[in-house]
Amino acid sequence: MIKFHKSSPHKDAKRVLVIDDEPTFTRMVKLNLEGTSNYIVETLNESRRAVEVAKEFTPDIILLDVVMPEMDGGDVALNLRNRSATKDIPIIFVSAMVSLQESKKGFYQSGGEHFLAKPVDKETLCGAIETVLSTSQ
Amino acid sequence: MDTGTGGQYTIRHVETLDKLRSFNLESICDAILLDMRFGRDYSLETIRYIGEQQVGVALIALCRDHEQLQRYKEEIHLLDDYILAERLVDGELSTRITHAIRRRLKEQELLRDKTLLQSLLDNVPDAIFFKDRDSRFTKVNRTMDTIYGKYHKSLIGKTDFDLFADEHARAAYNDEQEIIRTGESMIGKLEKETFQDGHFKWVNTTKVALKDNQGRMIGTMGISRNITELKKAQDTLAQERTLLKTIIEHALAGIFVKDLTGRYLVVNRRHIKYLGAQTEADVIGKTLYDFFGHEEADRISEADQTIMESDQGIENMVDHRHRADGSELWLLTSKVPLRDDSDRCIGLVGISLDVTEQKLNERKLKSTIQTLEETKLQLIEAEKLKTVGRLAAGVAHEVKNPLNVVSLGVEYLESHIEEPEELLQIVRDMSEAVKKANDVIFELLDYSSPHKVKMEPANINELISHVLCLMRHNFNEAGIQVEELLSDDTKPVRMDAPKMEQVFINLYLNAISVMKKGGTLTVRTEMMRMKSTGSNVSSAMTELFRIGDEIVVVEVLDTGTGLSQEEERKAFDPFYSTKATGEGTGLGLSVTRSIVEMHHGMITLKNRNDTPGACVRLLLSASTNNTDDD
Repeated sequence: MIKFHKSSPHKDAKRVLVIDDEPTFTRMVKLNLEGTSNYIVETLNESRRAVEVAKEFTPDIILLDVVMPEMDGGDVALNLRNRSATKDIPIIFVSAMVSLQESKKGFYQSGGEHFLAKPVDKETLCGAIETVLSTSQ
Repeated sequence: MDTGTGGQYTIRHVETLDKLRSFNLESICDAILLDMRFGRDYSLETIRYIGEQQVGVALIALCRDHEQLQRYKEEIHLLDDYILAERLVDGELSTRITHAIRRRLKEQELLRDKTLLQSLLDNVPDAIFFKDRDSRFTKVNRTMDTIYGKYHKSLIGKTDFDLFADEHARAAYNDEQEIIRTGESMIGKLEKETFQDGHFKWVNTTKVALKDNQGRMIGTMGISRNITELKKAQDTLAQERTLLKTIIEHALAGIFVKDLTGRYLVVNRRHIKYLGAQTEADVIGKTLYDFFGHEEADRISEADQTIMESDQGIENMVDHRHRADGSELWLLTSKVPLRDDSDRCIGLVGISLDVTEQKLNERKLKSTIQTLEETKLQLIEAEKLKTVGRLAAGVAHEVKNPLNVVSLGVEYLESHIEEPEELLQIVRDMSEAVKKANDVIFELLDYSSPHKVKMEPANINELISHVLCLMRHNFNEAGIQVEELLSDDTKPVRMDAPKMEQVFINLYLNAISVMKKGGTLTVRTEMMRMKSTGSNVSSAMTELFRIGDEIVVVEVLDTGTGLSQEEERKAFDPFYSTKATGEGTGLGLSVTRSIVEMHHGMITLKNRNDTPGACVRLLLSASTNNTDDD
């Protein structure tokens, strides 16, 4: 029998909100990030509720999918940035709709925004979060 | 006979004239003593006979007295001396005979000289004349008389003013007076003799002072030769020369003549410029080696030698040259062997047109066409891939999401499972599989994203080796030995490396497919220089390459079964394949050819000569420093 030891987060762990319409994806991101004990992760699959959940969870950073059925990532970001409570939370867009060069880079900036290209691995994910947090503080 | 002076004479006595006639007078005696007392008629006849002989025999008449002598008055001049018998003193006879003989010989000599002189005067074709101090003719020879005396009964006493227009007469008169004054001769003066009716002759005249026995100046003598025809010929020649010189000098082409050893003999202004020299003196006597690099001079000299040896000219050969100062020059040159009077080749004559400007324009045009073609290819490629690309991007997106879930899941598992080993292995395999799936998606995106054709100089050897290395596994699997015979001299070729890689991948795959039971694949490179455009060079090659172009040759040789005639003909057609259905699309070689053509190269497929199998030959222009060069 395999045993998974559930690690508890450090006291200064960062709060990450992951918004993606695909529950399996958000679950996997949560599992991987929390596995490092460096993050406390909240996931959201209905993009419409982004502002509400963000206000409640008060994340340090938001990972935001771009192509979503209810409301796409662009609109979600606009809403978040229009609210004073959420406007300063840094956002990393996570998308599969990127060019070949961009996907090869993994984490990159474009038009002043941060992007992560799918598929993304844990290392790139953590690296991106740390980079953005260190620059936004 | 005893002589008073001690001399001794032999005397022969001849009685009759008839007897005398039977002798050659000079051979029998030096003097004849004729006794006139025999009778007048007989004596006269004898005197006349001896006189007619004009021989060196002195004739002395022996008379009774003066009275008798007087009777021969009319023939007395034929006598050399006479002796009056009644007054003859002792010893006088022999003295008189001796003097008569001497006189006779002297006269004979004078006569001979006079005859010679007269004969000369009468027979030379030149006009000879003697003039007095006033330039009046005192004597002229026959030629002078014939030519100038036509309208005059006699020229004697006439002057040049009677024969010629004032223009010439005055000049001649002045010349003669000058000679008389100074005594100096006038040698070989070219004179234009203008006649009173206006026509003229060209003569070459020599005049000298004429002096008498005492050395007193008595006039002039001269000789004139008519050189009108010669002068005309000379003038014509000079005119032709001037004409030729003008044509050569002002021709809108470079004109030159070289001797057998390649030294310039004649060169016009334009050609001096083509050679990069300043003056004619900088070029005459020099050779090509003084103006061009050694290799280039060698090449042209060799061609010149061929022309002179084969006695066959060339027409409109395009000649690309580099001057010592580095500037480029294109000449359209025609050359023919130069022959002497006996038809021996003594050099060559050439004419060159500067077509540098046209060539540069052609280059520009070519470069434009090349860009256009590359753009066209890019457009086709873009068009072709647009649809595929759109599809691929959509698919990729759809696949990437679930794939990411799997990959993150596997990653999570990987970091949490420590045992058992089997399970860990499963997870690792899954991770590997996901990576592969990821790579496929990348490749799909890579394939569908539009490619820019990027031409850059690169070493084909490196590319060949690189692709061989990539495909080593394929060769090993098929049991194929690879032989690389790559020349170190290979010059860079302008190419789009990924596309060119595709060429070799296709060629190698093809080779593998025809050597299923193993074999040897040989890849060979070498440099070649386009030397001529003769009949042994295919028209396709003539179209692509120019004389002097350096060409990189690549040969890919297999030891398969070779090609049928049909295969040789159709190999490059799209969708033509000898592979079984499902093994290949038949696009490989057709795409290969397109890529080679895009590089302005040439590809041929033929059976090998040495052993069964096929030989693919690729010809590519070596890159020159000039990026817009062909």
